[in-house]
Amino acid sequence: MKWTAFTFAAFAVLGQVGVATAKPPRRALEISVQSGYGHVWGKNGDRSHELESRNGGASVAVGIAYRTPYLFVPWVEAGWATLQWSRETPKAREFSSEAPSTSSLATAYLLLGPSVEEGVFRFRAGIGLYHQQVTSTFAGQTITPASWDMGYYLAYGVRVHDGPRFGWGVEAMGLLMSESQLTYLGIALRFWGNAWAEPRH
Amino acid sequence: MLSSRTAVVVCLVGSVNLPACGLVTGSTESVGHPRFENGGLIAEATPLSQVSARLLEGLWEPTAGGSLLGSSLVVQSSPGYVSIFGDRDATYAVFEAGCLDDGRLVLEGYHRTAIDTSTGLVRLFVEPADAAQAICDGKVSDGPLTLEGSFGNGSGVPDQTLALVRQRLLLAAPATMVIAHRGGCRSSDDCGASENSLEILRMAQRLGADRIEVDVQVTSDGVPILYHDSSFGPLLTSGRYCRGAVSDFTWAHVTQLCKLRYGEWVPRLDDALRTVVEETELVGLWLDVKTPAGMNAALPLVRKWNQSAADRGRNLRIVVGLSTEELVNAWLGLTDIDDVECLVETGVSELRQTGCRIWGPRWTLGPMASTVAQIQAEGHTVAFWTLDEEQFIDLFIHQAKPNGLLTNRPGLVLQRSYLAAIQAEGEATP
Amino acid sequence: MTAGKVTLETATGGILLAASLLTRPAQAEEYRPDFVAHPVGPEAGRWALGLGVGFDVLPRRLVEAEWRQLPHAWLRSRVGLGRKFYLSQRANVVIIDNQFQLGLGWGHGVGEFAFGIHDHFGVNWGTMFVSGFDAKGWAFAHNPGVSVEYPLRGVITTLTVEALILHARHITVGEASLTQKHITFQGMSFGLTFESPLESKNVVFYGLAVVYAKPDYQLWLAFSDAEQRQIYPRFFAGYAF
Repeated sequence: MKWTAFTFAAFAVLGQVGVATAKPPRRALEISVQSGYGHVWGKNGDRSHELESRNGGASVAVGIAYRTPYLFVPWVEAGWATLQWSRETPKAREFSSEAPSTSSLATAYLLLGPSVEEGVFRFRAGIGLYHQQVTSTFAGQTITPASWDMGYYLAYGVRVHDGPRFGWGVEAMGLLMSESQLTYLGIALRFWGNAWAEPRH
Repeated sequence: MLSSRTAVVVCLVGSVNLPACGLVTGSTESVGHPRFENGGLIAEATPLSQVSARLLEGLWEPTAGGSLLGSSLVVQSSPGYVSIFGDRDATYAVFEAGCLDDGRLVLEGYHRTAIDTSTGLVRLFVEPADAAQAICDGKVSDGPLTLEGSFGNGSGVPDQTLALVRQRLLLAAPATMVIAHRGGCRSSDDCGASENSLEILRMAQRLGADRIEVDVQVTSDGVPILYHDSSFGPLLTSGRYCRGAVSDFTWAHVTQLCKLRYGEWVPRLDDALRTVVEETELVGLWLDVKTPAGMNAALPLVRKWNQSAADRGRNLRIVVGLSTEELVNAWLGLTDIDDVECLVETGVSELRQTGCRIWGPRWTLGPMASTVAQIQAEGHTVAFWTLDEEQFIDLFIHQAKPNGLLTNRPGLVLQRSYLAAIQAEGEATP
Repeated sequence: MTAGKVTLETATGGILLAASLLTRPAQAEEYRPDFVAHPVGPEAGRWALGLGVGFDVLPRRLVEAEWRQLPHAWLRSRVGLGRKFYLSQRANVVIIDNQFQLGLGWGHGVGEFAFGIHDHFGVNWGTMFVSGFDAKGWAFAHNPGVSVEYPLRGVITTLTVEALILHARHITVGEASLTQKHITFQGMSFGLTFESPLESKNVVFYGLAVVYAKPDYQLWLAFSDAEQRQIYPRFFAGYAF
């Protein structure tokens, strides 16, 4: 709750900057890049053999949105996020003499959905595909299995600077990988440029 | 940590992500049964012998508390346990039985409803006292036999009356083989352990089965394991990195990265066969090998454990299941396999072509009564898969008259098959 | 499976993207498009026809498979009967689970809001030739419901609540069959539909619904012995003429 309240408050403050500087176009084809950092929640299984671990990590994404003066703005986004990394001692007795395993989990994603823009604030919801990628080294071998999952996306953000051609803002995002039962929550910086724009009159 | 209120907001919007919403602690799911405090009265009792436990078997009817289990109850024993199987929503109860110092014979355990997994504690005493004493001594009791006690919900103390009276003894064996799917039940059935685990193999008999079916996949380094899907995923496993095709994992990585849904190890086929041979009294094991590589990896183990079972005097048949044309063709390409039994899931022509003794058609083809009768007349065994609904179980038992049924509800199939056999016996008797 | 998912997502996204390229606010004074979900149906003699795609994400507990998404083709049409009544037809088709319904609806606007009631009767049927599932079945379905609409910045936003009732069900497996004749209340459906009028005077519709129903409501799951109702989402998008 505190985390949510903090982000809302921070975005409200940043939003005042956005309100003061906003000169957004009436319609635009917006291309954005964003980079952020997040934390993962979900089923983690047995962690009793863990020597060290990192939860969450960086995320990057590129997206396209078609901004209109109407309620919904459709968007498409492709991205990648680091989810987890850890070193664990061997769990099975037959491999007890082996060196600790090193494993990581990341996801690539392709999402689309509508967003609602109210002033400088934007709320996004989406649905799409997550490609979970594992890399693990143990007992002298490295494996890289992967699986496809369906999932959802939620985000709310604020446009700090929203000009006729460029802008930037901050977004709190959530990757809801429903099949994997994992949730990545993070904060990201967004930069966008308008490939095409119909200015406001 | 994600606060509960924020989690609710996230969860309401991503409504199918409920498991991630609830499990913020990183723990594995659990599916335990309620247990009596301090072990209950059983902790102070002398465990009932297998011979004595069999004296409790029979067809029973409730005189009180019939809403729990249903109306026609089958009581059957298995090593170390006594189970009651009813027909109300596939409900069953599993007990440990023991003789107390004061002469009472107590059964303590839990009930579970298979279709919605509600559960609770149950405690019953054998009455009258002289019958209880006789059974504890391993002697047959001629008079009426009742079980009287109470049951509860969840971990609550049993406070609702339950009383059963035995109507008759069971037949020597049920007319229909009860083959428990995935080793005992599916993980989603919450019957006490994950599917395809060593733990569920040990439980299968007390769930009503005398035979089981397990699924075999192969790792990248050729180790056959028990696992149903072709890919590891959160439906059947726990483990952050347990994702991706089974064939992409080495056995070492399986042990390191994957546990089954309720925390058990993913078993090797070798360990599973050892468990069945050495720790159970199951009489049949159907290996659903998913790939020709799995079949080839399984065959040496099947031979090894068939021999071990024979050496121990165990009455056990291990059968390799051929579920696809690819597997049938791979089987036909093998030489020197007369010592291994097989089962064909595809058509009758493949059954005859392979020379397999068992035909396992899927139930959605219908009872096929005349075809089943013809196949049985040729000396084959027929077992349909996979039947869970009572009305369909009855339909197949009465119309198709198969030798066996593969099911996620072994107790229900056992109960329905006994009732059908008793009904047939009644119709046969003038 | 993967290609199917990508195709579905791409198709849905393409419709949404195309919609926004052409969206304009509704001009109530001079022209009112004929919507397929708005509580107030078309005027007498006018009709609306909607084609779309949708998919249900079936519950994990019941669908023991890696593939839980059940796609449908959607067909919706309405014809105005006058006095605010309209005749409605709905169809969802995917071979293994099909629904075809006819219904009657009535709606009335109050200020910016609109309210409506409707009732649909029809047939659910399915036939399965996917490996491992060869049954056929049908059931009579009955879906009474209410809806309320409010325009959000030119987008017609309709909340629809329906009861899901089945009268009689007949299932055939091989030469055997089972019939249930009693009426069962299967559950409820809560849907949010967004309809965006386009410059071409047609409409793009999209939305989601939450279905709370017994596992055997959809014929594909007719063989589940589980009784508890399950929650699962349904997504859809389409184009109305």
